[in-house]
Amino acid sequence: MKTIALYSIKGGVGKTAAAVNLSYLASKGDARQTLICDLDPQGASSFYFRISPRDKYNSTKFLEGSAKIYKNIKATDFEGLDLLPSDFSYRNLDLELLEEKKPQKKLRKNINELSSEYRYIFFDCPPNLTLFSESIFAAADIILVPVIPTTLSIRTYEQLRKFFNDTGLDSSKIRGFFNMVEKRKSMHREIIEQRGSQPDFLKSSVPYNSEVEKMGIYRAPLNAVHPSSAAAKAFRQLWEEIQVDLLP
Amino acid sequence: MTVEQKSICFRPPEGFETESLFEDNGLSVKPGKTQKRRVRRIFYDTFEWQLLANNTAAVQENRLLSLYNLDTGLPFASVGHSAAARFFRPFELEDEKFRSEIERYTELRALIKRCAVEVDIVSQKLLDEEEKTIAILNRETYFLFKEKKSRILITENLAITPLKGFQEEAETFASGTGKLLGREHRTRYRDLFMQFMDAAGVPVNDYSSKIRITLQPGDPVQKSAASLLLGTLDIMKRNEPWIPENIDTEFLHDYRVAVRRTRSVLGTIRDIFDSGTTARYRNAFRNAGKACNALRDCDVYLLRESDYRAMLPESLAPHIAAFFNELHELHRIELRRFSSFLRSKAYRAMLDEWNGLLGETERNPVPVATQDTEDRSTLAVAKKNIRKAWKKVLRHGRAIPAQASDAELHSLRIDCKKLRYLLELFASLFPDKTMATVVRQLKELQENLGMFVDLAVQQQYLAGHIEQMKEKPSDPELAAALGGLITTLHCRQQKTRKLFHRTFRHFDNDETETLFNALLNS
Repeated sequence: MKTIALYSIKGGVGKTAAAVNLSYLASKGDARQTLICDLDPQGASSFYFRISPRDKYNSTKFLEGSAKIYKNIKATDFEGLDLLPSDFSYRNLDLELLEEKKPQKKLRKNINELSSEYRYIFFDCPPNLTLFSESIFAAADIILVPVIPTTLSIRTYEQLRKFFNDTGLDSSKIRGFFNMVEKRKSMHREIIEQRGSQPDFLKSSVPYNSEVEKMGIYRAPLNAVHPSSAAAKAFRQLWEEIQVDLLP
Repeated sequence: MTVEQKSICFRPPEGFETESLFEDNGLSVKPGKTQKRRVRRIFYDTFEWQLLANNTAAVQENRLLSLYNLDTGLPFASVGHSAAARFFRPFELEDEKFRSEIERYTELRALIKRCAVEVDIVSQKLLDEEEKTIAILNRETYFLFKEKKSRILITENLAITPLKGFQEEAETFASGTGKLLGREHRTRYRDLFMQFMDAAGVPVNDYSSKIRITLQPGDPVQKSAASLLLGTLDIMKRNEPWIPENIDTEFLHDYRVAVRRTRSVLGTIRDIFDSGTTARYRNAFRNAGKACNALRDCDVYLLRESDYRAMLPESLAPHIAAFFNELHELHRIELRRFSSFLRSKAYRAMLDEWNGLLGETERNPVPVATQDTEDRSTLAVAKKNIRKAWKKVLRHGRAIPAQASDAELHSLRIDCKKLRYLLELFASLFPDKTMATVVRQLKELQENLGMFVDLAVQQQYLAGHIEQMKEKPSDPELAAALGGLITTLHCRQQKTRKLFHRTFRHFDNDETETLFNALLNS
């Protein structure tokens, strides 16, 4: 089992679109069971897959792990891809985690219990840097950070790396990739040229594409409905690179 | 650990239109597009129905072999498997995960094709208000599939299969379906499975190697013995036709156990027949057992191939291939020889006469003239014989010194086997719970002795092979490999020998004595 977090301190960088499309691609092929955990109280990836949590599901159940988690996993309409939906109560996860003995290790412990069921687990993470984020960092094998080639986006990416180094976390887990790239913009081109060649960045990037925004209308992964769109092709290339470079 | 998903099935009445499920049902569930397909499913199980006993069916559909839970109607393991063969053996499956799933039910028995059905499926997604699929609704029409594409209608089924996490929603929809069709139309996949077998004329659960004869305590022992012997004869006859087909090793194994049980009854329960008749059949069944000894040896060693390879260092393991090649050839010869024995007129005539004699004895048990006045009822004889066999095991076991010899342990193993057969043959006369505990205690001792003797026999067999090699062109690597195996087996045998006294003490204790007394004084 490999766990992949789509994470950024910054909002609006395309974490959910990347998590939905990459998890869909991961589930294709030879019976590759994949789970996407929607960890963001906004529940955007749950919305994309048309799934709501059960009435009784909440952050407390999520932290209890094991059977409570299993019971709330739902199949998407795509074979091999399941989803653990988010609940609005996830906004309280930080407070609840404070009461745990080892809050940083909580998510890893809960997720390990799913290891026999799934080959890949994706986390669609909320945009912040909190105790829950630290729990995600400990649980993830790979932390994929979508970065829009802008000054602010790069700045928050560097803040994340610094946080890892300052707190003794393993920063080699972090891999950035450029998202919502508009080649016609000189700043995008320059930032990609300067930063994109560094080893902590993946070579593949995803262009800005209005089809990605329309996922809110289709409510399905782009690769399932418009596989020939530019963004769909870019996500395929990105997933191939991740498999070759990061998932031996 | 997963939350149980379950298909909900109904038998639709004649003329039922699926569309009517969506008319004014007060539910927010809508049907998706209709898709039609036709599939052929081939059902497999072992000769003993070991999968069915565990509520499981092995089903080949196109190029996929799946294990279905007959309670839920859902597959829980699948593997690519191209051949829709007449049978396949679990250990030949390459996929380790799938193989281990099947091996939970059977390791040695082949899975035999039981029946083939063709299914016309009209499939629709069931969508909620968000247009999310919550379940699949399948209208399935099952046909018995025969050669030359002829097919006979078996039944229809309406299956609502929830997607993971949507069981409650599917149950709500099914409850509406139930109201419309009537609850008596609700069915289970296990019932469908039984209908398929029935339509194919395949009797289900029709074989067990265990003795399943209920004896009456007050019946004359001749009658009960005849019933038991008819039971063992039936097991022999059931296995005989399959042995020449070489599908799995257990047909011969069960045949041999039935022969041994027959000999055991003839040897331990005296005065069932006159002494001449008893001697004649004891001899006939001894010969039947002997006739397949070599074939069984081949089976046993061939089953050990991967174990033997694992025992050897990498440098020697490949050289054992020559030994197994010879065994395969010997197996072929012995199988032909024994198959011809089974077909032989003399053997068939003996079995026919035996069958006639047993039938007559069961119907009309005439006590053999003896001078004894003892109680010859089944229960009395059973108790007497079991007590005698138990005491013999204790006497011989206690006499074995600290350095137990091969011969002593071998002899004790035979004593234990005789006791075990008696306990099993007469089990129906005693309380289940006490009998099960007694057999469990004995089984532990038998396992130790069995392993010990088995290890000794293996060493002798391999040493015999080395001896034969003296007459053949030299193959020093094979000799070294066989020598390596003998050394390893010898080490294991020594360890087992050391464990003997501890295991025997576990059998020869107050607890077991109390159990036996409870059994025999009841």
